[in-house]
Amino acid sequence: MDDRLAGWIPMLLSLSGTQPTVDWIYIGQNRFVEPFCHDTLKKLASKPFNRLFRQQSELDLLLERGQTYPGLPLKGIVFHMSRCGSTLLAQWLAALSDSVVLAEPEPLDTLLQWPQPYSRGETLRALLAALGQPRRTGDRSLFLKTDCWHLLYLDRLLAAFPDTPWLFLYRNPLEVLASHQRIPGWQCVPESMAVHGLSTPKGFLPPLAYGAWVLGNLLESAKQAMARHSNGLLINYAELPAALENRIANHFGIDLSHRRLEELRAVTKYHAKRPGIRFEAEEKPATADSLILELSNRWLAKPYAELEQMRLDALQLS
Amino acid sequence: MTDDIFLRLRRLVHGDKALQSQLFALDDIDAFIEAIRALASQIGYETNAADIRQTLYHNRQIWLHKTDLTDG
Repeated sequence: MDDRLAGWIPMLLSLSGTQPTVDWIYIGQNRFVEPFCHDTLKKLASKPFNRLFRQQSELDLLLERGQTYPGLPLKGIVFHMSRCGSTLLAQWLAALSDSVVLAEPEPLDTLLQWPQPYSRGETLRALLAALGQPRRTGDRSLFLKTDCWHLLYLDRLLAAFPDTPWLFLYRNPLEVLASHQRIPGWQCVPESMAVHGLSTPKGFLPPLAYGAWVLGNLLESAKQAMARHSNGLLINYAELPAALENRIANHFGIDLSHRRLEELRAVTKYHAKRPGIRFEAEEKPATADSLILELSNRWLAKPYAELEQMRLDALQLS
Repeated sequence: MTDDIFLRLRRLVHGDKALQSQLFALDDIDAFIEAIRALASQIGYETNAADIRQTLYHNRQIWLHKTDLTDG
């Protein structure tokens, strides 16, 4: 059967009234190699061809394609608390010679926010199938790195991909908050997480405090998810990059015996978002001012300590 | 570029994988416009570069409005 959307990927999902539509752009044999899907999509969308010839379809076509072209098997999902090495991990996975990595794909963020029945498991699978088609003849595996707040959708994602191993990557909250203090993430914008079901119980919080509250919720959610789902793994930022080649590779079923490890290690030597700057997992702790200390103690220290205990207990058992 | 020409071109391109790949490879706007004009000519339409350039610009504005592509 002729596949008129071979080489095309869903760029934008829209829900106008009750009519969901999908905008497709051409990717051809290009790969997702930038740190975030957004960067790749931005480059693709700016090409003259996609300005003139992008296609729009109903959501049903995406669903049909999900059946006919299921894409690569999803071999691992990376959840994280942000500013904790998740981009480094995604770049390492992308450097594998047979993998496709979707790093924080925006169409997924859109879909997760859609009401039922549009965002059911079948649609999630169809979306990842369309984004996760093989781009090279040797591509065999798909990995997904979510946005940090997608941990709030973990149950839905794991229901859609029930046998897929997942991990939660996290870091000393003082360092994470110091990073957000320097360059605030979206999750530090007050009430930005309300659309994801997180509304502050005590009204308005200033940005960094809001971010700390959100991150505290994520750590708590990760702890509960570990108790509910057996195929999860906790990784602390301090374990990177060494954990890539042992605990993470084992958990995701990545056989490294025939890989060029030096090429993979080269990826981990530099900051994933700022090429040229060396990655140092054991860098000296960020200078925490009194505000960061207060916010961490208020919302993050307890769930972080509990996660650490769970991680260390699991390490002792393994 | 009239809607008629545009629709004919889209139908042609969307049904031809080799053509998609060939046009997609053109990053230079001027080269792309010339390729589109040549394609239109093959199916019997006269086009001018300014119209195609305007359509590309217009589509880009719509696209930027619908997405957040300016925010890297």
